[in-house]
Order: sequence, then structure tokens, then C-alpha cells
Amino acid sequence: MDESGLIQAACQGDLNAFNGLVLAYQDLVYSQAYRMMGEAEAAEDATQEAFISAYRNIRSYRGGSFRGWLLRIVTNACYDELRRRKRRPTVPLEPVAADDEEIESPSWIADAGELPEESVLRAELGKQIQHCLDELPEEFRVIVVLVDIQGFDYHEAAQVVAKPVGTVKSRLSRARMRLRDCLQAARELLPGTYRLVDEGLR
Amino acid sequence: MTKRISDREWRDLSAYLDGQLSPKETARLEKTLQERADFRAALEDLKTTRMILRSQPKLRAPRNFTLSAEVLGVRRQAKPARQPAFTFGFASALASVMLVMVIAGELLFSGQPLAAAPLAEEVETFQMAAEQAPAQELAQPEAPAELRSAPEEMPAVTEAVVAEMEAGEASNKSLLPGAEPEMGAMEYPAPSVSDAQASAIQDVEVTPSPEPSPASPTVTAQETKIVGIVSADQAIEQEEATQAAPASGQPFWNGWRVAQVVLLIAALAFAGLALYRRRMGV
Repeated sequence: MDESGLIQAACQGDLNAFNGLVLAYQDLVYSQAYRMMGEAEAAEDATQEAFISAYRNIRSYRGGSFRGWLLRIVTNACYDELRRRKRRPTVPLEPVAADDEEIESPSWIADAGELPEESVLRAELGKQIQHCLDELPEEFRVIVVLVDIQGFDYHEAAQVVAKPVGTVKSRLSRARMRLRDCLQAARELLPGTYRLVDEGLR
Repeated sequence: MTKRISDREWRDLSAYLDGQLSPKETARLEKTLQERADFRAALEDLKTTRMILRSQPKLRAPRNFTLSAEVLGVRRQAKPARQPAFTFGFASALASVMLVMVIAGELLFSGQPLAAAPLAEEVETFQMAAEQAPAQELAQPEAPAELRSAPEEMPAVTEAVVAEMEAGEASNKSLLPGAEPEMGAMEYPAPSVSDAQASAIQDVEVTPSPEPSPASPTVTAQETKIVGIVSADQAIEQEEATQAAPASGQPFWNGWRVAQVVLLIAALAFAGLALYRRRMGV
């Protein structure tokens, strides 16, 4: 059964048909949630919440990009959770050194297994990218994740965030500029081909 | 001299990278790129940043998120946990609305405090009884003659009352703003004990004088009321003895105030509970 057939059957209450859609899109939805939340457990919760909400409200789907509709739901779930966290901030599990300074990459998190240097660098780069994404305002983060990580075009991204294409263009530009500045701080992690050209442009 | 790249130019560079500029905008930007090295460097930086982001491996879901009737049921049961916060909020809003209504009610009926109203009604009943007795007698033509002799028949009562009233005459007069005889004799008295006493005092004061004073033309009629008013005065004194509540001034803690305080406390308590439940995430 193709996607539209699954959607029609799900609209009739067919849970198996909806689960077919879940299997097709769960990586995409989880990836968006992870990039927005920055941690696996919260991303799982947001993903599960999004699929439940999608099943209950599938009759409100009016055609168009189904993955865009799903990502809109998971993005809203992430916004809700992030706002709730702002109201109830939690203490991070960062160990504190003797001088009350947080230790950012504690040794007890490191994998005991020996990894090749390239894998270690990639993992570190991945962490740095996620750290830079976390530093972005939510409205910038969602756009850059949609376009530069998920590979959406501007129009589809505009549908997800329910904003005009001009807003997407502007927010993406600002997000890229901020990420560029943030990644400058981790340039030693970047492979030679990824080194930024001019550090003094802004 | 190099100009800084503006936000708009950064936006155009970013959109150019993604092929999102119109042909006209593209031509203009490409011309600028040929002329300015900082534009070229900026474009390269944006391209590299985008490449770094796109180089990230696609994440895979750590488990299947397929739904089951059990998962949907559990979530459905978990939903009502938020209801108490909503219920408390609604109760707080309701109490607030009722509080506003009570305050408005007090402003509208400020002269009739809830608790003082029954007492005022009873006093008024006594005074009406006191007034009706002489009024009925005055309606009969021969009544003045009979009643004119009444003070002579009851000298002991009147003299005692006069002696008592003379002792407090100075202070009593200062407490009686409407001291004209007509007010006490002919009109319905205001629903207060002090006014009834006032009419009694005025009437008693004129009884020792056998001739009517020019300043008080209704002396004869007032004299006829002594018996009735003295009995009303006694009834009021009994009422005062049984009920210590002052009838002349409104007490602070009347029904309106009690209702306002109760509703205020309820509104604050429910609001606090709603906030607490919301903070706790239940």
C-alpha cells in the first residue's frame, strides 16, 4: 500500500496502516526531535508524543507533504517541552571540579573501548555541532535543522514552521552565521576540507 | 576601504547558496562577488558551514515508535492527571467572579448590611407600633380631650421620665439632629432606636408646661402621645438589653464583609493550588 493509501486507512482508524507510516518516518521524526532537544531520552518522548498526537488528529491532515505535517507536530512537541524546561530548569549532570568549575568532557562519560582517531574526531565534531545548535534560538534552530540537516527546501520548511518563505530565508541566514562563529571555536576538530576561510569577516 | 557585509547581504548570500534567489538578484550578487573578495570569502564560509552540517550522519530511531491500543490507552488515562490544575484554576476564577459580585452588591445596597437588616426591621416594627397607637386615637374627634388628661392620671411615670431625661438633657440634645417636634410626632421615624428616644424626650419635655409654646404648635398632639411613646421606649430598651448590637452605626463585620473575606480566601487558595499542581507537572 502506498503512502496515500496508508493515510486514508489511518483516517478510518486503521492502527496498522498508521504504524506503516510510523515505520516509514520514525527516523526522520526522531532525528528532528534529537536535533531540537539535544538529548536522546527527551527526543524519544517527543517522538512518541508526536506519533500519538498525529494518530489522534490525522483527520486534520489536509494533503500536501505528509512528512512536513509530521515534522510540524514533532516540532511543536519539542517547543512545548523546551518551554516547560525553561519554567522548571533542571540541574545538569556535569561534575564540578574543586574550584567549582564544571568539567565539560568528564572522563567517566568516555567510552572505555579504544576507537580510531577519525571516529573520535567525528564524534567530537558531532558533539560540537549539537552544542552549537543548542546555543541557537529555537526559531533559528528548527529552520537550520530542517534545511541543512534534514534536507528540506525552503517551501517545505516554511510549511513546517507555518511562516513565510522570506522568514525562512532570513532565519536560515542568521542561523548559519551563528553556527559559523560557533564552529570557529572548534576549528581544530574540523577536517582540512572543512576549515573556514576567513575568521575575521564578522 | 572595505565595507562590512550587511545582514541583508548575508541573507542573499545564504539564499544564493541554496539557489533561492531570482535571476535578477542572482545576476546582481554574482557581479558583487566578482568585485569583492570579502563576499567570496563569506560565501565560502557559508558553504563550508552548510557542508559540515550536511556531513552529519542521519540518525536512526533507537526503537520502533509504532502505536498499540495499550499505548494509546495509557496515554488517554494519563491525560486526566492535568484536570485538577484546571479545576482549581476554574474554581479560583469562579470565586473571584463571586467576590466581585458581592463587592458590587455591597456598593449597591451599602445602606442595608446583611446582618444589621433584621435588627433594623424589628426596631422599625416597635416604632410603628408606638406611632400607630396615638395616631389611631388622634383620628377620633374626642380623643384630644381624653388624652390631654392622661399626664394628670399618670404623673408618677412622667415625672420619673422627665427627671431622667433632664439629667441627660444636654448630651441628648446634642445627639438629636432633627429636634423639631414635628419630626418625632407626625412623621415615620427613621429606623433607629435613638430617633425613637428623641421623640420621647421631646414629648416629655413639653409636658410640664401647661400652655403650648409658640415655637411648638403641635404640643397638644404630642402630649397625647406620651403614654404610647413611653411604652415604646421601654420596649426598645428591652430590645437593647437583649441585643447589644448598635443599631445606629453599621458594624464592620457584617454579612457582606464575611462573604468577601471567605471568597477572597477561596480564590487565593484555589489559585495557589492550581499553580502548585501546574508547577509539579500534574
